[in-house]
Amino acid sequence: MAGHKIKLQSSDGDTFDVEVEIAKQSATIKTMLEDLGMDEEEDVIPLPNVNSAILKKVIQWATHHKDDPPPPEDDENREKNTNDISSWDQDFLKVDQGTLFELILAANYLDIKGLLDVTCKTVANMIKGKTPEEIRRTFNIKNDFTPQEEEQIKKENEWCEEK
Amino acid sequence: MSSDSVGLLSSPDRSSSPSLIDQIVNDCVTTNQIFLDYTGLISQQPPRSPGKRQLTVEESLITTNDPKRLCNSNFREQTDLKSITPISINSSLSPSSLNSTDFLSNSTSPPLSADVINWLSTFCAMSNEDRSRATEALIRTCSSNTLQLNHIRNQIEPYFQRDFIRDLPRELALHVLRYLPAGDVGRASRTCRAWYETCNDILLWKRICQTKYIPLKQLPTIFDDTIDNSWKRSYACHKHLEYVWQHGQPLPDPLTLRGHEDFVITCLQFDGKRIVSGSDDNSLKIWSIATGQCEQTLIGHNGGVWCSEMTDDLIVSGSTDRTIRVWNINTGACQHVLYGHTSTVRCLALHDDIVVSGSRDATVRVWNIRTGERLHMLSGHTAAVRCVCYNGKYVVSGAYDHTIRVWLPDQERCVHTLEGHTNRVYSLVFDGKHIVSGSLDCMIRVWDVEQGTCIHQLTGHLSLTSGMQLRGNILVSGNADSTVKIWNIESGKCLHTLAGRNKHASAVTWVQVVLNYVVSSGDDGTVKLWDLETGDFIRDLVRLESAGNGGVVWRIKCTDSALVCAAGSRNSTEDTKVIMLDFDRTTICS
Repeated sequence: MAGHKIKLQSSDGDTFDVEVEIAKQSATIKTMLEDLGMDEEEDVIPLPNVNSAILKKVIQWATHHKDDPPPPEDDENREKNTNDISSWDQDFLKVDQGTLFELILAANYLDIKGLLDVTCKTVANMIKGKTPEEIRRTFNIKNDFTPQEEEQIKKENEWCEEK
Repeated sequence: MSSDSVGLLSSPDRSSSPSLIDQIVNDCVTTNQIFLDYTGLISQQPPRSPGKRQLTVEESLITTNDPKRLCNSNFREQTDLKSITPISINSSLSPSSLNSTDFLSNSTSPPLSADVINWLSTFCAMSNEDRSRATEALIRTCSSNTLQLNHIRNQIEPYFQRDFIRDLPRELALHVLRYLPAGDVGRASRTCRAWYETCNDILLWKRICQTKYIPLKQLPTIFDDTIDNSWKRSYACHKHLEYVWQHGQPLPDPLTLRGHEDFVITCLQFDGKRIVSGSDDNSLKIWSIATGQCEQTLIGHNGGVWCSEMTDDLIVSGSTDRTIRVWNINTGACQHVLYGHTSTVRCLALHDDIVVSGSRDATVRVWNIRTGERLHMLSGHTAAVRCVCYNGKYVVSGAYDHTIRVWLPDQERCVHTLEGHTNRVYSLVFDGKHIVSGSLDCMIRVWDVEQGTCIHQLTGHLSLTSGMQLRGNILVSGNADSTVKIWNIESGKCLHTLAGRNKHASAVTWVQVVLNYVVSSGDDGTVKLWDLETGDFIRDLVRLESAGNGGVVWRIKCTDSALVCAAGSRNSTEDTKVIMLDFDRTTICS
């Protein structure tokens, strides 16, 4: 079936020809193809939650990762590592926060575990090691605590600074 | 672009940014569409009544110009968006009302001057292409002035930022947070209310605790008043205890419990409230932590006590007098004497009401400690049984015949005889899957209990392994070669050797993992604290006065908050005693 293609349609109406094997990294699309028998060349899979720009990026990611082994099952009891993002993925995710945000939503909707993990890791790395004030600046967040609340919450988290 | 014009368009409240980002990033033409929409709004806004807050421009932008947001049905704030959707766009706005202050999205900005508004109107009337050029030219004009350029950047930047934790569906926000260490989650919770709420998710903290082997901490703790989330509180307690073990100054005053005269303490039990010491003076002593007094002396054995076990209400002891005795922990009364072994009872393993005993008579026996019943006898070893484990299903025994046997006690059947060691087997740990054995041949072997095969040979120690502990895949071994090693039993690799300048001066007598540390005791009269992850030496917890001069720490037993050691000397330079360091006393329970 190598080279066999399907059409994916973005929310804004653009269609993309994608190899079935690449598209199947999306568990959502895989299920559609298998369960709904949408296997014919002329079928168009509508993706109403993904716009064309984001879909283009998702396809780019999936194309690069088409030969990856399936991601390992999550071990709930193991600490997660965020330092294992490949340099290709790092470059690929050098995008503005809005695009990263949309990629997370798209990866979730399309159920592409590898992309969801790597995008979420990227956001985690943006939070890691920062003070609350630095986090606010990074994401343009307003501190909406009252001074009393702030004091209480500081106390609640004082132990994180003990080392 | 002057600051006012940018301020007018922009929305320091970042919630308008997504639509702009999408469009700017994806399609530069639509960038201009936003400006068009914006001007459309200007001309369509109804007059505002002074003093009463109306929809700001950027709120209008959200509602009218953000199809993507609205189509994402899982947005938490969608209801908010809907509630502000029905704005009137039919009434017309007179040009003069452009001066109205409530027109500004940011109430702190000063009103726009007529000049600026005129200039802006000219801009709004331009074609998309001209606007792009005008914007470029404007930026170039400002480029010689760093302050202005910075101002432009600061005004634009928020459009490229997103509040992931607030705006992502909760399960995705948590997916992000699951990649963060606890300290970062704690710090992130101080960012704002929305982050606080998500960062305090109970399952998030339960997971964090599980990755660190931290159990749910029972009340009371010093964090009861400050932390509601029970798992986060457990983590905080754990972190705090780590701090006091590692850095607490000065070390807690040792509680010294003198007893057993010049004899050796051979075994030690500690449950946080009571200490039980067994000795070759034929007795056991029960000590109360609360009073610092010996509550009971258990007398009855006719030979030295060499092993013991403890439950909530019973103590089990094995002796050179060939018997096992079961004692009531509260009254000190001997409830059962278990006869059967024909030589010294050298090791015990307890699981629920069942105790398994190994003896110099080369047999393993299984007993019920409630009824005193003899249940099973497991024979097959050809020399003294030195160590034994029991997990409720398998009995594992190590012996001086160089072998380890795996038994199904109910069937009195030996299912595997593990051969490979070339000398006596002295120590065992068993997690239900892996058996790890230490031998006088200097080797540690890792075996698969089901297959009965040797998975790894851990080589590196130079002498007898006296004690071991397993946590997950990490094995800690204390050795008579005066070092402690940390291994990964999956890979068979030695991760760290706890040696160097601060190592024990002679044989390591016992090791225990507590929190994120290794505690080791030595024949040199010291107890040392090491970092389990890095293998770094942290500090001496105990140093006997006679350390280096005959003083010995024979055994240690720790809880998360206290260390108990059995100490004495080979040459009467130091009284036999139990020493306790309570890291909890002045902190957690105060």
